[in-house]
Parts: sequence; C-alpha cells; structure tokens
Amino acid sequence: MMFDDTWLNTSSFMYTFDPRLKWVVVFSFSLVAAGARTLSCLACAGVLVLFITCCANQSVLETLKRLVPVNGMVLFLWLFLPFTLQGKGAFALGPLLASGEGIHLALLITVKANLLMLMFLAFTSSTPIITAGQALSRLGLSNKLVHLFFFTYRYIHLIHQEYQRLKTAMHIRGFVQKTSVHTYKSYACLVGMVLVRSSNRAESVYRAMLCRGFHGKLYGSGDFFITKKDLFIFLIISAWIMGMGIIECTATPF
Amino acid sequence: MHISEGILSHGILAGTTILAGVGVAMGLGSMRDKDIPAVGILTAAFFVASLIHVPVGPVSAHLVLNGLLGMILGIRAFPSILVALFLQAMLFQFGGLTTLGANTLNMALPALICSLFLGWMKKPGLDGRLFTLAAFLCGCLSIFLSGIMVGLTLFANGKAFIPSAKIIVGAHVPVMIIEGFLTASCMGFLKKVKPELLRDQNTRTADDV
Repeated sequence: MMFDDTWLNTSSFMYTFDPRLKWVVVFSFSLVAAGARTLSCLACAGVLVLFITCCANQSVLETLKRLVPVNGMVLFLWLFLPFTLQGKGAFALGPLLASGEGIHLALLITVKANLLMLMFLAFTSSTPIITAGQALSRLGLSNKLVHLFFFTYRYIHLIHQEYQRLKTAMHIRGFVQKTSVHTYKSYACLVGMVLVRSSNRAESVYRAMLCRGFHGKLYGSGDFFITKKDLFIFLIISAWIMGMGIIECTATPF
Repeated sequence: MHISEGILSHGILAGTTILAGVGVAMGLGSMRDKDIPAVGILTAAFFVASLIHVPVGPVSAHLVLNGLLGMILGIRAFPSILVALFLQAMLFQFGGLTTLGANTLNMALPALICSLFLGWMKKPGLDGRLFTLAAFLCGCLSIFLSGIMVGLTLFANGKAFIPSAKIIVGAHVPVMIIEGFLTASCMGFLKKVKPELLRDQNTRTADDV
C-alpha cells in the first residue's frame, strides 16, 4: 500500500530517539540551513546531515529515489538561473551567456534543497506518521489541527481503496482515457462520487464516534520518554546547529 | 506546483508562513470539534483526488481542485490544505517542511477568494447555466490565482527567478481550463447527487454533520 510506512526502519538509532526532540532538531536545522549562504555553514550542515542519515540507517537506493521530486524543481531552475542573473560570463551556450553568479546561486539552491530534504528523509524514515503527529501535539501544536491530521491520514487509505474500486469499475466498462471531453467528464463524476461516498462515511464515522463517547479529545497510547542518551545527543546536535548559525552570521557569503 | 526547499529566502519564508498561519488559525477557529471528522475525511478525499492524473495531450496533469475545496470548506480550506501538503511532504517528498507555509498560502488563498466571490452560486434555485458558468470560473480562477501566487513568490525571491516564474504561470493556463471544466462537471454532479455538500456551512442546522 502506497501510504504505509514501508520506508520506516525500526532498527536504527534514530527510531529510538525521542520524536519531540527529533522535530526540534529537524525544524531548527531547516530554519538555519534554509537561509544559509556561506560555504562553511553549508559544510557543517552537510556533516550533520551525513551523521544523522547514518544514524537513521536507511537504504541508499530508496533515499536517492526520494530525492527525485526535489531535484525536479531544482533542475527546472538550473535551466534559467545561470542565464538570467547578471554577472561575469562563465561560458556561452550559443547566444546565451551563463554568468558565474547565476551558476553560484543555482549551485547553492541545489545543495540546500538536497541537504534539507535529506534531513527530512532521515526524520520520515525513523518516525511513524502517527508518532510524528502525536509528538507535534505534545510540542504544543493546536489539538484541532493534530486531530484533523489523524483523521486525514486514517482515511486516505480507505478513500484511495474506494477510488481504485470505482476506477476498476470504469475500466471493466471499457473506459479508456484520452484527451477528450468524455474523459474529463468521467473523471469529474469519479471525483464527485469519491466526495459523496467520503461525506457519507464521515457522517457515519461521526455518529459511531458519538456512540463511543467522543467529545473532541483523542487519547494517544503511551507517553514519550527522553533517555539520558537522547538528551546527550540532542545537546550536541543543538550546539552544532547553533554553531552553524553563528558561522553563517560571521563568515562572508561565497 | 510545490515550491521545494532551499529556494526561498528567510524573509519570504517568514512572511508566507505568518500569512498562512493566520489563515489556518481562522480556519481552525471556525471549526467546531464535531466538524473535525467531516473536514478530515473531505481532506483525505481531496488528497486522493490530487493523485489522479488526467491526460493533457501527450503529457498528464494531476488534479488540484482547490476551487472545489474552497467552495465546500470555505476558510477551513487553510487547515485542510496544510494537512494535505504536510502528508504529501511526509509520504512523497513533494514540497518540504520550510516551504509548507508558502505552499499552503499559494493554494488556500485562491480557494478562499473563490468561495468569497463565487459563493452566491451555492444558493438553491439558481439558473443551471449560470451555476455551470460560476463553477467553471471557480475551477479556472483558483488555479490561475495559484499559478500567479507561485510566480509572485518566486518573483519576490529575486529578479533572477522572473523567467522561471513566467514559465510556471504559463504552464498553469492549460491546466486551468481543464480544472475549470472538471470543477464545473463535478459540481453539477454534486448538485444532483448530494446538494448538502454545496450548501452554505453557516446555514447548516445543528443536526447536520
């Protein structure tokens, strides 16, 4: 099933690391690294990402596959940035002159985008989605938003199955998709049917929840627990991220 | 179109995140506890709809349907889109953590604008052709505005991004027509099959879910 945590590695150190601390690390790292412009700061970020990715112990092939969507957008920017940013010419491609500054900017974006995504990947490969939501709720995120997240995640599986079933039914009746008004109309009805069924399901789910005494609260099973080892590693990583911030403020952009 | 991480500068990230945060807070404020299951399940339905790829000539485009979402959920489109984008980032690595605010704003604000300006179409007893036209506009406008907003976000990020911003806005044009058509057909379908879904949320009675 495409929405399951098949990518989850439960045998890594990162998996045992407290999810709240993991969120803090990922957020603070992303904040600092997203604005980085200096080579030394990016190098430090790279070392941290390498360390955490090793701790998460995820499959290399799968990691590379998951970097594809980010690099799609990055590749798109590479088509333009070198030629649109004014500066010293680096090389000419027919009538187009690529500037050194443009290549710098494109390179900077490539490195940052991949570093940030690798950090996030290390998080997703070591945290079940439900745990990630529970940790956000413990960190003070609005309960309503977290509940909304749980409901959505819980129901995408079911609604996707429903969609597959309706789609199979269409194919059995000889539907072939083309660029045509008929195709678009059929898809519109398919989406409409998915919405109608989902909304009906929502009504019965709500009634069922009322019967079980729901009054706007969801209770998680078990509590999170920060061990001394977690705290120790967390402090080292935080110091490292703070160091990255300080380097970024003091060093000159490359 | 999801903006990836590492592209936007701190200022843009902060600005868009704050604006998206205000929208999300307002959306959550208008949502009662008992609405959560319904909004969650509809969010899931739109999440699944966004996985549908329709053929556009030799390539295919995935559905967005933020106009329809805005029409059904109103301001609650903000938390709904935020959750959907977060899940897309977690599951498929589309977009990213730091750009969550920017992407939410770019998708949810057009949805809200459509529901504010075209909300009159939900009135019962409206002329059928007028309804279809408004639904078409709703689908078109929401995608068009989303494209413009992605373009503006990139433009605000630096002059070097102008050509790529233009291409992105241009690429939204064919998608916008298809979305308009799909939204119009889908709303027509919903009006026939389950008109309650399109009913104004404020006029719903306490017995409704």
